[in-house]
Amino acid sequence: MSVKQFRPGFDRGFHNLTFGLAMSVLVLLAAILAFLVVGSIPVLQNQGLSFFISSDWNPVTDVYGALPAIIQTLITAVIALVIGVPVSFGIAVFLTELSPGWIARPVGVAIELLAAIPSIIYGMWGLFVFAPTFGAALQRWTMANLAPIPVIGPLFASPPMGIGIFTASIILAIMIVPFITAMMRDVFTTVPAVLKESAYGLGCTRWEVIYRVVLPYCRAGTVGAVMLGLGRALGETMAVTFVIGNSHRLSASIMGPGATISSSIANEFVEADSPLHTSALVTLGLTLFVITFIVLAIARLFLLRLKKQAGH
Amino acid sequence: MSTFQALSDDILAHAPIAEPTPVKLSVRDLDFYYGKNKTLNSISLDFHDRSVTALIGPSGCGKSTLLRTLNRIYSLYPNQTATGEILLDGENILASGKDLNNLRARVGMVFQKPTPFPMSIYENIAFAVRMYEKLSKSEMDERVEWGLRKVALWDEVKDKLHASGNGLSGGQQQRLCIARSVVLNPEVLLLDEPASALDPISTMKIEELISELRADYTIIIVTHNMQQAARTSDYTAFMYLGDLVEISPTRELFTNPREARTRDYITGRFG
Amino acid sequence: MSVQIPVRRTTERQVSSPYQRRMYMRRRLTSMFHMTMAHLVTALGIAMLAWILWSLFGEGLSAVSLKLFTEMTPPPGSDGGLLNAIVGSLMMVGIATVLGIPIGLLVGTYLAEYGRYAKISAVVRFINDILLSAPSILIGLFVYELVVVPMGHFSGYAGAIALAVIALPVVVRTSEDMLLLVPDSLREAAAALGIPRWRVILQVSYRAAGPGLLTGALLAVARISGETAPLLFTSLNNQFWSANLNHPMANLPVVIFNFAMSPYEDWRALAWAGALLITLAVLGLTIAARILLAAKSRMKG
Repeated sequence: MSVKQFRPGFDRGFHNLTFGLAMSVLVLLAAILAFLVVGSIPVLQNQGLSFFISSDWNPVTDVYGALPAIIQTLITAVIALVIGVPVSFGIAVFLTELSPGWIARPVGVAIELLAAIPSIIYGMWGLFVFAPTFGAALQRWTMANLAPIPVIGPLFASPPMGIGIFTASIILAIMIVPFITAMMRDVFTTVPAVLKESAYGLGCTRWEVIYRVVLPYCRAGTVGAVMLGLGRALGETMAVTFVIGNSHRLSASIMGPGATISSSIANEFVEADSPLHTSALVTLGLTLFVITFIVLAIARLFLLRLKKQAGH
Repeated sequence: MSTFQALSDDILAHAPIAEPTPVKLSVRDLDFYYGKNKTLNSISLDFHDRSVTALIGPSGCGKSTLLRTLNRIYSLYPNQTATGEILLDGENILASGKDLNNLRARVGMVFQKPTPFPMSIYENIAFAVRMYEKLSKSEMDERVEWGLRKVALWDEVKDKLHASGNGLSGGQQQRLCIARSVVLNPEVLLLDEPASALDPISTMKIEELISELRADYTIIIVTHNMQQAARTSDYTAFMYLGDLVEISPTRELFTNPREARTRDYITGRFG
Repeated sequence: MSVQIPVRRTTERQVSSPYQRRMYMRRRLTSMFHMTMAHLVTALGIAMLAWILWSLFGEGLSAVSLKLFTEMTPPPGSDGGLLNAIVGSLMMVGIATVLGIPIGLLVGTYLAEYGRYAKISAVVRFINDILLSAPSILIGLFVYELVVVPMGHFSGYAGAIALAVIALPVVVRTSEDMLLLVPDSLREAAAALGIPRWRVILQVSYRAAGPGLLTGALLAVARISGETAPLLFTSLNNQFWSANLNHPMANLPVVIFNFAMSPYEDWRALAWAGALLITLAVLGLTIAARILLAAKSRMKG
């Protein structure tokens, strides 16, 4: 009779291997942060805090002010959310509450496929199809109807080129809708049927059930989904780079061209000749890292709470 | 077969005695389908005003399904259909175009598992009231108190009205759900095994509550617990495999059932 | 002592007072309005999908020919294909897969098996989730500083490493989730036979979670196949044939980007064809992953 030897050494080894690689995930994030910080030092030493508050970005004179890119990153992401979240919510409601299974399933699959399409496709489509038709038409309309209004008018003034900050926001919105919808749908389906039934049992209308029962029940998950969408919109590169127009000016109009942090990096990094220009772009990257880290951390904390809630 | 006794006299002695009251809800030739699957066969029975009717029978007999037709909650699901007539004060609620929200305000329902909404105790009740009435803050406070007193929950929660309803014990949550239905002044109250997920003390409180509410509402309770049916109801209906076997005054059904199948069930030969 | 409760008789109901009727109508209209909006935005979403696919197929199909797969990317104004870009993409995605998937699987193994209840695992999970959604252009910057600067030039290796860094958190997440679905009773049964933990993991957990792990791998490959931003300053691009990973390397996404932004008509047509290829590849991988997962859940019953 032979007894298989139990070799504790092997198990120890495998345990340590997986543990070491798990730690490498932490090292990876720390390294990304470290490289970004180190890369930022030259421009911050040279220009100090004026980097963040100046709006003058000029590689020719080697002066870099990041304010327009930072502000326009936030503006595009926020407009994308303002457009995208209600649409995502509506589709998620349709999928979970309104449609029979034979419609919900294919539409749900379509939404998931839409979420998988690479962002460069959205960007290209935005530049060649959306901007010349809808984008330009919209700009003509705002130019004619909104621009003459005093005070808020300048916000909408622009030549009808089709591309610009607002077009980029719409493309971003189209891109994050499937992403947010898929998450919201998954969260909504966790609501116990009996909870909805008891609301209907009181005579609630569909909207009252959704707004007063489903949504509060899913608050953590919904906020998490929206924040993840925001994180995506803030960091998205290709969809924006194609259509925003790449202008480093703080334009008064949201219809006009602009640049976000990621589109600046994508456009200029390879061509950056001076070390200061490279450093300025890395510092933009660091800024983006910090902003998205905060947003994503909030998102994860909310989603963690959802998990705990489901746990007990 | 010798002397037949399903439940001890001790329990039945406490059973309320049925007095004839007018018919509130009348079911006529009701068939029910899950998809193509027929689960209720030509059910006909009456529910009397201000009385408690218990629906008993083995699992899958259709007692919950019958209950779910009475406020048409089944209409939420596209593959469930009911045919026949259900007359609430003479008006057929199965008729197409029937206003379901109003119907459900008149026919309240409480489920097996407590379902507090994800809001405070106060809001759980105020939310329901606000859908139908516009009340001032003080009137609303009064109404919430009224509802909570009605289910004997007021003293237990009056200091934490704005805490989440999820923080209550199971029995308290269930009474909150009953209060939430009661404040709408329903005419009929449907209870779907309201105590089956609760401990014995909470169960006792719910049963006492049912006896209290009986004075004001038509109550229909689904239960798998025969003693509960005996303790709380005026009438008991026994269902089996989608058929209504018999409906009688509770004392009669438990002491002298007309049907052999009823007798077998209540003496524990099956089910 | 019992409190007197003013009982409202059921006859006191005022469902039909004019005020209540108005309020009730308003509630119904509000609900109808929102439900109509939900239908409309769903229709809008589907219309957008149809519009995007329509343009993609319309513009892309006309540019698809055999030359796409047999000829190099051309200089402006002449004929050509995307062969070097396709091969470059395949090589880089292939290397990234070989690098990223095993590491990701082992990290996921730690989180789901050895370190399931360890405090550090919560931190790793959190950081991994941050990496999962971090802007991919930052990964590009990182790998540029890490690989391109020390090497002194752009290279296919750098591109592959960037893609591996993006694939890693996807694989970590899915492998942990899939391993957690393996019932503990299976692990216990294996352990009760005296089988050491590492063999239980390799022979029981991995086997039970097999289709799920494969799904995660497919999703990771789908994710990196379309990534553009991290390749812009790692592998850059190459106009010519190059299978040397130590040199700048052509790849579909960057070629699409450069060609689409160019003023030349035939370059743009090639960009559309490339876009169609990438989309089909990504959708194909995603659908395969879904089918795999569906088959798995059907197997379980």
